[in-house]
Amino acid sequence: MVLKSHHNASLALLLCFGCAEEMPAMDKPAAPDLSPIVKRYEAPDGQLTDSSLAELRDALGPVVGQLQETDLANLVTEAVTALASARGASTSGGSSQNAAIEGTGWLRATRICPGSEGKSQPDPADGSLQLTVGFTDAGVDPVAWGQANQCRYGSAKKPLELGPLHHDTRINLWLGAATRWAELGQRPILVVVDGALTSQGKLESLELDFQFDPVTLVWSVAVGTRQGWMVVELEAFELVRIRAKNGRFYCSTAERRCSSAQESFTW
Amino acid sequence: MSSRVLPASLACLSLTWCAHAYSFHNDKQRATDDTAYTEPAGGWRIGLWKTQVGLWDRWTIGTYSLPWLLQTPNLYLKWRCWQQGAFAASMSLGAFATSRQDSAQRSAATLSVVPFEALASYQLGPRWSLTSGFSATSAKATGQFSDNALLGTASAAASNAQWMLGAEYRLTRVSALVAVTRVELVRRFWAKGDGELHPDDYTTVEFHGAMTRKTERGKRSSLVLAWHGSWENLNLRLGLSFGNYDVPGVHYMLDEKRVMPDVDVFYRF
Repeated sequence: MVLKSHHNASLALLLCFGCAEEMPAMDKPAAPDLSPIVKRYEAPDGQLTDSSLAELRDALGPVVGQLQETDLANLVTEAVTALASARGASTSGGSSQNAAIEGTGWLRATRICPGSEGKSQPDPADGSLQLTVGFTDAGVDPVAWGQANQCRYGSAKKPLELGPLHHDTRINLWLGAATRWAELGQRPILVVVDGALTSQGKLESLELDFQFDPVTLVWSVAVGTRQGWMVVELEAFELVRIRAKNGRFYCSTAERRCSSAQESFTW
Repeated sequence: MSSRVLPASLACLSLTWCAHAYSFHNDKQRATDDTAYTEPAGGWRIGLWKTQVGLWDRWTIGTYSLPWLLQTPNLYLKWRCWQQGAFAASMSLGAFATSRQDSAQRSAATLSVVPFEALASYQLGPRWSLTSGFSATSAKATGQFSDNALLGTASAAASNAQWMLGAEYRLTRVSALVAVTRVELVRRFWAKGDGELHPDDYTTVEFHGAMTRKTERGKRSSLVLAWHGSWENLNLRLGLSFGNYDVPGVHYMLDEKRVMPDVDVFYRF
């Protein structure tokens, strides 16, 4: 009986130490669900026909106008690249910092906006973009999310302010599934903005989504038609391709034609 | 040349002392390393690696020397909780703690290690004794760090459990051969860090990360083969460790497999 109690004590102590120092729970914030919008871009469900092509053409003008007006691609790409550089800075510092950035966790980056006056130094008065993103051993989580806080950018001729005072402006980014740290800022980024923008002193509500490839500089925009969602791809804001349920179509503005291997439509 | 002289000298010394020595490889004063046995009441051991004293017949308290040189206070307590005939069982618990701060006081770290061991020994006749048991070690480190681009805190913890089997064969009244094998059953590790980075003038990044290596099973093992000489007061242990070296006291096996010397000199009185 004495022996048994000793064994029980030993076993209890062993179990105690075997389980000792459990890792504190990681309070990782939940990312917003972008799957409905991502689905529009990754699996467009609209059939391209002569009539839906005409609809696309009609919708394209305002879409391109909004993309040019908001000029968000560089702003977002710089913020995403800053996330990647944060990882580089931490891993170059030492093992303890390395441990913090590898494994599982999350980052919240606050980037001061460039302003519209060509300042050489950051000025907090130019506002900021704040982005949060999670990570695991496999890389960066697919969704980064955050907000714009009176973020000033653009040029002296065309000053812009994303998320002006008292106008909550959310920015959600789809960075892609299974993205590695080194690929941040090198892969297409799907940008979803919901809020307000001040352009040259004029306040406008802003609800916009687009995909931008920082390497090829191709823009993609999902456009809804009566046939469903299709994705138009633009180079220098010129229509070059359409992705639809019935295939990928290469477009020629000169010939006013979009063609795949099987079909061809004109406008 | 010196590699030949040293063993030859030691052998001569051993033989000379054998002729006049009082045997300590006996049932009253047994080897206490890697066995369930404890120092006799009032008995002292002072040596290269550790100092210990028998508080009462079944209780031994001691400390490892080397960690003190590294400003790491440590203490262990061993309790021979059961003894009946040729059987003995013991439990021991230790504690190591250290705290460091760099000269510029920009970073600081604390480390604590708590090893526990439960062993059972059996005397198989006059020459052989066998010991087997388990050990478990829990370690935790915390730190703060800062430089121009980085400010944060980090913590890490490791724990492991080992199984050991040891055998002692008394060659003569004063010398014995010892073999101890240890197998790491499981090792767990995690690290966690929180901090703030400034990768460039425009960007501030708050990070919260954790790294977990959950379960490594049976990846490390060690074998120590040693000769143990025991004279009137002097004890000498010479041997080699093969495989993953097991750091004495804390029972933490190194990742790299290598052959390491196993040397100890101590007095018992």
